[in-house]
Amino acid sequence: MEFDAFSRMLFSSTPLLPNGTVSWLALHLGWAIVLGSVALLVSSWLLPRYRWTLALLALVWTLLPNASSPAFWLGLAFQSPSLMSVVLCVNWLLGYAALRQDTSTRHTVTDSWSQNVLLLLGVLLGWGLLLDTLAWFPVSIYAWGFGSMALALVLTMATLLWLLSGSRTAALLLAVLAVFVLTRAPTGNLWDALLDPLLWVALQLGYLLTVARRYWRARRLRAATHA
Amino acid sequence: MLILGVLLLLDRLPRATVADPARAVWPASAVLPVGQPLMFKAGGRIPVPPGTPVAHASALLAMPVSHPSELLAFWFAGQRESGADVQIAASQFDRIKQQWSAARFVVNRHTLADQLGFGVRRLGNPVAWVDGQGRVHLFVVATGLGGWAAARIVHLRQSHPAQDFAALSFDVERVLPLSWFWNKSFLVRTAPLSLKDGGMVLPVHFEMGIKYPVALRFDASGDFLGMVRISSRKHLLQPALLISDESRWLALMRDQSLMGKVALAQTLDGGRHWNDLPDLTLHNPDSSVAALALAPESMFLVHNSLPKGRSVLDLSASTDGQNWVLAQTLARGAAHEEFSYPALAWAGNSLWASYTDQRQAIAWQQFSFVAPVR
Repeated sequence: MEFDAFSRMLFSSTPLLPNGTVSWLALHLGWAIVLGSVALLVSSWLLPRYRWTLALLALVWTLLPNASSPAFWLGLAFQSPSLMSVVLCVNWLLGYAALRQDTSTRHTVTDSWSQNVLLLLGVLLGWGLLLDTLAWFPVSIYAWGFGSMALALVLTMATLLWLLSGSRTAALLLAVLAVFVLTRAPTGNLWDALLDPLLWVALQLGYLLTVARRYWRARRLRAATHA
Repeated sequence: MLILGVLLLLDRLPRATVADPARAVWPASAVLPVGQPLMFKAGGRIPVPPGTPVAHASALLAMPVSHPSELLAFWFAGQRESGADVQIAASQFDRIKQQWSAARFVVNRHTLADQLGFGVRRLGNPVAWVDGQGRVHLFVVATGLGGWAAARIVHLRQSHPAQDFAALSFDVERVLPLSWFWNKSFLVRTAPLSLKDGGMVLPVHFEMGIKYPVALRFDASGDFLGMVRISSRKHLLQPALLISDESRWLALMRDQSLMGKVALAQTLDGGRHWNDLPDLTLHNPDSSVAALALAPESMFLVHNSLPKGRSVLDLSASTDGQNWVLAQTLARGAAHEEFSYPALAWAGNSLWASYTDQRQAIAWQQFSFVAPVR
């Protein structure tokens, strides 16, 4: 198959990679926000005041330079987290803080269709990129992430999704794309900004949990109907 | 829609226009006599840094004629391969003294990690290139968690434009972003192919489970322009690029399969597309090769020529890149001995070869097309 015209369209521009400062910030700030969120998440047994202190400590510790920072070791294994992971953590932190402020109402997460679409696309994108790493396809999907065309496609899709659903998830995707265009973090490749392998695993686990929860709910409902 | 338009504009404006199609250049500007036998001129071992019993994976870099060094050699050295103390060593072949200088270390994993902001477990193969401004670029294999299969390629650039070898130092440019999977398992080993626009094509390979070769393109400043897979086969690595003409290039590759031959792929459009060709008749005992086309119809290949083992290292010549004849045997030892990981360069009207000698030293040989004056 001749991919020439297609690849010319996709590679209509040269890659833009982040400079050293942006890469350093993407690594340290990215992991600081992720680890701060994780610290807050796993310390639910503590009083809120201590949870925030713990999260802040994790954040500051990760911003330290060199081997004293967890980012030094996490970067060795996993490089930088994706912008999407960072933005999701920021979103979760802001939501958590808002929830703490407003104790009169209980917020529930709605399972909007746009969220499901993005979840499915994220899972599929991860599989595509993993198989691409193992050279399963005749063309390199990862290489498209350096070009303008991939960005234009994802931007158009995110804008349409946002216009149609008005969902927060689509807005978060647009925020990720905006930060990527302005900084090129973390690597200059769009796919690295949208999804990292850890987030991809988390998405799949989240998806499986949702499916399992639905299954058990339906089963309980059926049992109750029969009774 | 306004957001969409603004972001697209912000993305497009800072990008350079599409790079011209890649056109390769031969390193030997003078027309070489085709078929003229090579004459051995000199040889020996490059001095190693003191206290480093292991030396491996050398790279040769021909320097511009205005530079005091005729050649620079880089390799990794330390107490043992994959050892924590392994650093990138370098030596220069002084243009006036006509001898190798004492070796010195130019990159170590600690300074690399400091500059990158994250840890580097081990260092491996270096590959060097000199850009249009005469600055030396180094591409070095640096491992993360999980050994060579978890390696990444770090791009370094010469810190100062100084020509003094004693002052040669490097700053990290970046880790080359080559795969989504935590950017793991891309390694560099063989020399870049120079382009007419001052840029180059750097051959690299992926090696986590499967092995496949990839070509990376860089502009005259050493900025990354893109990547293309060289072969659809999953057991080939360490591609060595050869110019057949400015747009038709060959990639000769190490074959990891049993009883392998030197594998071959070609591009007819300056590296945009590659297709596999039948293997060469030359044996490849899962060992790295080095290839260099000096001028049209003047191609050279260094390879381990026995079906098994790396005890014989030959220099072969070809006019078309597919049919090779033995030009010289560079090294021959007992069955357990190893002469491997060769490199080739053209400098000072000589063909230079370097290779790992028993994993203890880097050996070199210099050949000329003109009989030396006695």
